[in-house]
Amino acid sequence: MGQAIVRFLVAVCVIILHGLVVRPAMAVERPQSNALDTKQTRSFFSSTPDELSLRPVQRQPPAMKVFQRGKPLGYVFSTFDVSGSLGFSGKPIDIHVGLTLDGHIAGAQMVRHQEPILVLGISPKALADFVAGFKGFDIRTRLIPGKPVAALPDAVSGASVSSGVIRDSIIRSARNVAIAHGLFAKTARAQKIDRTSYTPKDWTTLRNEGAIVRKKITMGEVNKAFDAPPGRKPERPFIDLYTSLLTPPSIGQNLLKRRQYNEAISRSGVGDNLLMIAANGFYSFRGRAWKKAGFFDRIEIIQGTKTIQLKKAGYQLISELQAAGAPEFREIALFSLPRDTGFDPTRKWQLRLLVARGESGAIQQIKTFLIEYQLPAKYIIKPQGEPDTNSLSEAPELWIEFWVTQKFKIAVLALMLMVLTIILFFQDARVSRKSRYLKVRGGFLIVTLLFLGFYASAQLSVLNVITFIHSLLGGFRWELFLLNPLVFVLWGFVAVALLFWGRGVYCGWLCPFGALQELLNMVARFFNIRQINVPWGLHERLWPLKYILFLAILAVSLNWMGKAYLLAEAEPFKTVIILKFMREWPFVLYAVALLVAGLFIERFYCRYLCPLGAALAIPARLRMFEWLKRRRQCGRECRICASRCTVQAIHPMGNINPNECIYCLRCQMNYYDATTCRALKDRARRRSARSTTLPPAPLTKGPPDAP
Amino acid sequence: MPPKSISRRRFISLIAIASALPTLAAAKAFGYTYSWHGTLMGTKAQLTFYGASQQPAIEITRTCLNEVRRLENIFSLYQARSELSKLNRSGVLTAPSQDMRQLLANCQHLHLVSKGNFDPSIQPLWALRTNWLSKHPQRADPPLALIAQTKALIGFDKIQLEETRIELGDAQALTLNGIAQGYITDRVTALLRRAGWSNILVNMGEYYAIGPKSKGSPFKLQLANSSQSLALENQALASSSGSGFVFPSSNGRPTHLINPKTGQSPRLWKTIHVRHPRAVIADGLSTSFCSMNAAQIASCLCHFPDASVWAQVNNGQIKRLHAAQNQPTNGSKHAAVRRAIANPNITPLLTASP
Repeated sequence: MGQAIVRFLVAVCVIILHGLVVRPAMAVERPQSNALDTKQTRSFFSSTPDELSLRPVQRQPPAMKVFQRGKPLGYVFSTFDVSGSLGFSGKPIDIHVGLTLDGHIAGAQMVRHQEPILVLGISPKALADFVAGFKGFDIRTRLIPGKPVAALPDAVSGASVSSGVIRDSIIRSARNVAIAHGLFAKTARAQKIDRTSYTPKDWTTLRNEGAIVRKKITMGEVNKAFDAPPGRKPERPFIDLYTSLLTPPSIGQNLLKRRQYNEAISRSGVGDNLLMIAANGFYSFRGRAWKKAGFFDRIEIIQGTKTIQLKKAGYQLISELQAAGAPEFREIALFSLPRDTGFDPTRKWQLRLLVARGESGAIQQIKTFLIEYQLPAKYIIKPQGEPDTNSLSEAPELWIEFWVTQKFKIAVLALMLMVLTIILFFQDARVSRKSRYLKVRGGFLIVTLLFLGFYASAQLSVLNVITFIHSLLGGFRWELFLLNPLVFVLWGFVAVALLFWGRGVYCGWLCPFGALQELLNMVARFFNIRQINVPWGLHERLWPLKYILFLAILAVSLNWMGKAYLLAEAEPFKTVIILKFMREWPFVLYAVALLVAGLFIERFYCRYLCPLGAALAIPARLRMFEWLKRRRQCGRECRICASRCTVQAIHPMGNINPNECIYCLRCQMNYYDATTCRALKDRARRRSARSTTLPPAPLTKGPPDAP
Repeated sequence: MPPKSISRRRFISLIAIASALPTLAAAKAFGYTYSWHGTLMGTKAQLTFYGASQQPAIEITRTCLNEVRRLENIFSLYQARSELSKLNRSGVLTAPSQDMRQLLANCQHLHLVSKGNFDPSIQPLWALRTNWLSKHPQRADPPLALIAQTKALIGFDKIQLEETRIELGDAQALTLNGIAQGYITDRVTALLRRAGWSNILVNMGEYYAIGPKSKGSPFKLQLANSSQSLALENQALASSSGSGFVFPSSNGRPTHLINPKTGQSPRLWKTIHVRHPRAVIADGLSTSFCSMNAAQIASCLCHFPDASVWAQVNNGQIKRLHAAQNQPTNGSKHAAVRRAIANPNITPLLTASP
């Protein structure tokens, strides 16, 4: 047996070394991110095919800029390219994300991942829906650990860690792209215009505060601009022009009728602005050409590098203004400035009026006149509480968030581990009273099953081991393991327990599936279901199955992670503990079959199949303590412990095989049980005999006697 | 060895260097507080502030550059989505911006008063030359028949300019590179003036001096190959030189200038300098004067009483050209333009409706 284990260890070493050698080749073929394509991008930005173009931007992190008919719409990028996103499996996760110019997620699509839980078990649709649910999320939203954000989609049920990784990949990458491509330079500190508050104001107030600006151009001024003689009445107004931005209700609702204003605002889209131009005088700012051409040729908005034409589509003629003290106008028009023009109401803009001399189609002289407008500061909301670019890049690590959100679970787990430690350190005292021991153990298993298993889904898996080995081979990252605090704490404890006592501490006490099997078997025994005693020879030869399974999974995982996940489905943990049987029937059938087998052969799965047990048993060869006590008679005179061992880990010769032992301490209970242990019974018999006739017989050298 | 092919952009920058060299000594002038250098419309550009504090100068420069970018988005030949590129591609531009209309109206005016010697529609000839050069590096001159054929397309008067629509003639294309620089210079100048700035030398392809360099001393620019310098204050100076860029060619030695009437490069003058309060006019005149003889220039100058012209003849001598004295100007500098306009009724078209 020992020889066999040594051979396994050698084999594992060979495989690991093989992995190390093969690794560079794997690094070379380290999967590239899938190409971003226009079809996908189109679905993000809901655009028609021919209008959309993608252009790579030579900047780090890499992203493609999306244009629609030449107008920039946003960016698309691969999270793997941007942030090298790794899943909980430690393998690349690649999500293609569209990001609008104002920092919202335009769409997201999972293109590749190797998350075990998601490869098998979660329906692809649930995953796709989850990823797509990020659409519209404002990446500037401050994420506080432990506080759910309403705008974010919930996790895929049963895959909270992977969901968290996905969420983190999307948001972190999007923020990186946004920062690197200067989106936040404009938007992070973006001021907003006050679209809600309303204060009644009259015309004069609005004029005085600069919400309405006026420019009067006389005939003389126009003639002068054309180098023409001033004319007969140069002081006559050529045009007396007023303009105002009506978007803030305190301006718009005062100038227009309430209904008019509400209508105009609701007709325009989110983020559109409403502009008013009103004029008296000789010249019409509207002209006539707009009726046919669909845009106004005499007026134009200029802001920064943008030239914005006013379109017939957003135009409305108004007969009069409502504000008290408003003058009468010859023409009053409302124009909508759509959001996609890039108009920023908080910044200065100019209204440009064009005056032409000469007939259309012939030689014209053209002059323009400017009115400058700056929305008064009182209508602009300074950003408050919005994270600036720096705090975005320094957003807390995802794992911290998980630890904070799972405080309660971690605390309970810590308590459980403390209790278990006490049990193990004071095992003699614990097992000395049979009924109390059985209650403690049963209680602990129930907590393990219900809390650790069904509630917290803290079921370790052979995949954790595989991930760990891979991370040792390909760059260890604490973050990867810190992502799931319960599993991390459990593993930390198991690692220590392995070195102290062997694999049994986990298998026998902390494995929810193990606990389920044992509890079910207890029920079975209660109903007197006959237990099958596997003949030792067969039993011993079935043990290697789990080692073979583990090594197969490890070997396959070195090159085909996906296939290894499939192989790891030999573990029914996901089906039973994490998904609670909500799965396709073959998986459920398999798990149920194992549980049924467990009714007749206690911990059938643990004994012969569990690759996790195998993975733990191998390093457990290093264990330091032999705290399970045996008597000299064990295996010779008495085999009661061997027959009562729930997993037949006690050799008929009396020694306990620590590779198979689940450390349930039953043999220790027997050890101290004067009604069970033959050595004790013999001694008691001798003692009673001596008390009548014989002198005390010397005890065999051995551990201390029972109290 | 002649270059195998010359891209348009490279070509323009060659011109820029060439035209910058002759005209100026001011770039190296001392005493400025802030100077911005960059490239606009494929040409070296510069804004030099005198006697101002630096920070506001930097801020206003940023505003100026925004304005320049805005105009580049309209006039650039190199941006596929500029209005000009759209117009050249499809022959029609609906919803032209006010800037486009304004510049084309200026072009129309210049085309008229230069009697066709100013013509942005020479773009097909230009394309012919550059394409020919890249295909036949050894024979840089396209055959005369081909030139004549292409020349038939030229003609700014074939272009329809309406308020809401611009339509080119068949196979026509425009280049606005030179004149747009003038227009941009005027726009930037106006912007700076509106913001209350003075003592700035603007170089956006053409020079423009806003105010004097300092009180009492105007900007002085030295003319190429000459000891002569001239003062510039609230005026633009545009220079066109036939010797700036020369196509490698066995005969004819064509330059970047093309006479719209002959399809060949004009040889009459070595360099023409025009000073005018508007850069767009100075630019247009200096370009068109290269193809015009002294008498034609003198006649044209009657329409521009504010313009001053210096011409460097091929032997290097610089002489000032003046408007023709005997030309009847009819009392108004706009009389000739007015006469030329098809509609004799020149009352301003000011629609007082609807």
